[in-house]
Amino acid sequence: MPTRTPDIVPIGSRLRGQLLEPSELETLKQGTLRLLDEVGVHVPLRRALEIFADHGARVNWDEQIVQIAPDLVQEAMATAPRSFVLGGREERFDLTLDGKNTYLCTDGTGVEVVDLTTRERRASCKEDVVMMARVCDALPMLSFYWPPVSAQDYGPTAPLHQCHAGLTNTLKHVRGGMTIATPLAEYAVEMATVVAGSDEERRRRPPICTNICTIAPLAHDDDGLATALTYAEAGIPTSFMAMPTMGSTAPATPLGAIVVGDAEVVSGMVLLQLAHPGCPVFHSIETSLMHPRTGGYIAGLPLPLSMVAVELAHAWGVPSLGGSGVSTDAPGLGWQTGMDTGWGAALLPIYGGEVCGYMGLVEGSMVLYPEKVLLDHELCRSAYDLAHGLEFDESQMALDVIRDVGPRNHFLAQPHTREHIRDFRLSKLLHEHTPEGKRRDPCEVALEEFRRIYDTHEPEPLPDDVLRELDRILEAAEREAAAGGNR
Amino acid sequence: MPYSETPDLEPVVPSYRVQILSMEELERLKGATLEILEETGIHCPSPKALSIYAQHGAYVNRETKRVKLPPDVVQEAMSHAPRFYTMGARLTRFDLKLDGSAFYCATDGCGVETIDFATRERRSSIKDDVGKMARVADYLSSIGFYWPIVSAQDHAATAPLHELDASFNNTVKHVQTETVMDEPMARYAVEMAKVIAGDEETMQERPPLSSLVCTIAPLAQDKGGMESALVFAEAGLPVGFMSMANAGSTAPGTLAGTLVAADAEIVAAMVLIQMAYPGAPVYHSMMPGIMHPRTGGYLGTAWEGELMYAVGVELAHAWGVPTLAGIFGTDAQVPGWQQAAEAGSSFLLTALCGADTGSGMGLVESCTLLYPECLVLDTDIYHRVRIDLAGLETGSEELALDVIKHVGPRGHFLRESHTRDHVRKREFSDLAAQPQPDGSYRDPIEVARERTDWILENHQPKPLDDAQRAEFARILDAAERELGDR
Repeated sequence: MPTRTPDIVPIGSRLRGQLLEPSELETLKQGTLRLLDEVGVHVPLRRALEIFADHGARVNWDEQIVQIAPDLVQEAMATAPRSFVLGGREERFDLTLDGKNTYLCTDGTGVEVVDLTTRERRASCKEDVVMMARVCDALPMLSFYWPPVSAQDYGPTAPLHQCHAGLTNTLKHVRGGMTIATPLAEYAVEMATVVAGSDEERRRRPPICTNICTIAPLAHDDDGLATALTYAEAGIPTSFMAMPTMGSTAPATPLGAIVVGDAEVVSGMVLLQLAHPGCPVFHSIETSLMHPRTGGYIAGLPLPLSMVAVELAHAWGVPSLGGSGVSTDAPGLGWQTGMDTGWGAALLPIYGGEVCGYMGLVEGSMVLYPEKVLLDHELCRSAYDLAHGLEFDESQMALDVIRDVGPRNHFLAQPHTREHIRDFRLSKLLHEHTPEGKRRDPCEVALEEFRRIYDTHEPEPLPDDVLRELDRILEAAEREAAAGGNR
Repeated sequence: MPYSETPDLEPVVPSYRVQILSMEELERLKGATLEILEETGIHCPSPKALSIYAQHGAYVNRETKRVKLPPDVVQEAMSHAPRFYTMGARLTRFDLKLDGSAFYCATDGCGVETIDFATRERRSSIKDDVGKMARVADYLSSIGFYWPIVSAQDHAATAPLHELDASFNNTVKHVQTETVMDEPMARYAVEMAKVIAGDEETMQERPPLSSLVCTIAPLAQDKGGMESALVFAEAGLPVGFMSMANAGSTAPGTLAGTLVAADAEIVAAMVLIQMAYPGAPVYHSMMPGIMHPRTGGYLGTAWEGELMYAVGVELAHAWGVPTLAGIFGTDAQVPGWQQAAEAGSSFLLTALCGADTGSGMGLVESCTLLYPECLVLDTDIYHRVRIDLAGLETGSEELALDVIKHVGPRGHFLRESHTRDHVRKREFSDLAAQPQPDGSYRDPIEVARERTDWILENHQPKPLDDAQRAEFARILDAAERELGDR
């Protein structure tokens, strides 16, 4: 018997901060324009080079370098919409990306899982994506399902299986495929069309979107660009995500890294706007730092780089994938994970950004601890409380009650107390006690709660004919992949 | 005696702010406070305080000990309270200039149990713990001033003075007491402050000691606490009032109602001080909790409750005084996921609201239990917030366009001199990402324990001079004779 999926809860903009002045943002944008004009980006896809060349960019065909004049960048970016909708299965799960709300997503895409039953670490598989989709469907703070791990049991068609596992196990918007081996992206578009019901509906309320990572510094991936062009043609939104690492693939200064990332992202968005003006794109820069002794990846930086990324996205007139997040570089669920999660959650309403949060993974977004999604969700809910907690009507001010009670008394016997004390959200995870009155370990409670949801929450299934059609699409994709269509 | 330099303070200086309440909402809250003080009033069991209230226009019922304050009396008294002043320290470079630009933080207090430094067993706290943690706090640039972090329970009636003795002997920073709760004790504490300052004038210009007094929710004052506060104020030492009203039990079961009741307690106390000593430095401290509806327990870290800490900052400023904000603090029982997850949120938000001072670093179990390594753990979070809020430089060296051009697409930045110069300027956590020989990273809690031990072994702040120590011994001796430890 299906269970009702609760409404999604975005975070509003009451506590939004503003870090950079408009003039500072303009300086950054000018930096990007100069880099694209004077240095250019590496574009290893002939179709993309042709699009750039047709619209007046300077293309070095041998080197596959594209230099784009500032006017052309500005003209292309002018056609990108500031606001668009990411569709859910029902309209109540639609996300309107217009800056008013911050919608939270899962993290992705990891490659290992701490198994729910054996608690051993192993390679991820499609069943993990199914499990997480079902549990995340029950969590109201999660608005956007990014398959947190890879369906590694499916080789080259893994992205399509991740998309399938998401679409069939949650009513929420699904990140449907990242970079997909070239001819297979069409199958993801087909899946989106079947779930949406028609081409028109897919364009109006696309049930999936994609995220394409650029390659720092200043380069693109051929399959990534091909996927993005396929999706853009179908009206499916694409975010380009730059992941510059200060010290190795980017300068060791925060704004140097941001400007490298911005040039990559903007060049990707320009390509899509030149090919399909007005197609929905969004902007994402996730900056990290090279550990100077180990060369390791440190994403949890005490620098407001994600806030800059959000402000820069908005300065370019597009929504942002990014903002604060609860992901962590630490292994396991210890002190550092707590710090990264608590601090990341508290910044969510401050940084803003249309889609962010990144719940569920540890070790630099590589390893899934299933119960972490509940711990993360709990603190994201706390962040919502911070941003939405206060009301000032007469009943909330309670002046009559204070007068009636007077000094040196108590409020326990007041009907007003009985009525309102229930309004406070008592955390199931943080404020749970043992029968002896001791506090329970939240990580242990989270694991129990995860298992309970997994055992009991069954999202409304897609109609049988849609499910059959999706299976048919997957089979066809498998056949093409087996025939070598993925090169 | 050889000693080590105390590192410079690194206060939080936010590059941007957020505002939770509109001016109109703040005025509504203030209006509600004025209404409660006028119509309901507060309970004041101190004859001395009642006389002061009565002499300055309040309606005082000496039988019921009820004081009602007309709005114009409150406003007039509060108009004398300074918005900005200096909290001094033993050495001038540790003076805290409360001028609205920087946020200075203190340890938590006043816990009653300690995880022993050597045996790691849980036991009652003692004076030696106060001294040891003062030394750790002295070393940490995160700590702007020191709250005696636990109680010197090996000293019975004069414990608060022994806490000050242990503090002043082990840190050159400003000390704020939260346990001196009667007039005779306060007179000894003021004497100690005078010994540190050297003379009365310096003590008033750069007071090395301040006091915090808790009100009693709802709407009541403690006799000893208020009389102690008057002694501090008379000496020119800053004194603040904290309400720990608990939504549902000692305050209404709503956030706005709790804010009003708590604000009324704090304002009534500040008004008394301004009536007695116009212009005396005071501060406002809003640290309410929420009652756990099933256990009756105190929930200090439900985030909607922490919203009250941040609104407290805005309210303090709306009344024209500095704030002592609630920061860090956890209901967790041990350092770990929950302790860290709960630590940073109130700190972040109160900093963004422009808090002047805050306290709460280093204890677990709702401010009652000291894990020695917790102060170092909280310091790591402190610096993370500090650096994040400090903003970014936007000069051309930072943008590095020439370096990017030189490297070009698909290159790397490892061998650029710009990288070498700047990677060293990035600030790294002292605890996280500490590599060990097998390539994995060490447990940050273990690193924090080692670091705490290292500080205790290696850091000895500039001691008091012999005359000051002799004077402290004389004061403690007199206090023990008068107040009953002997």
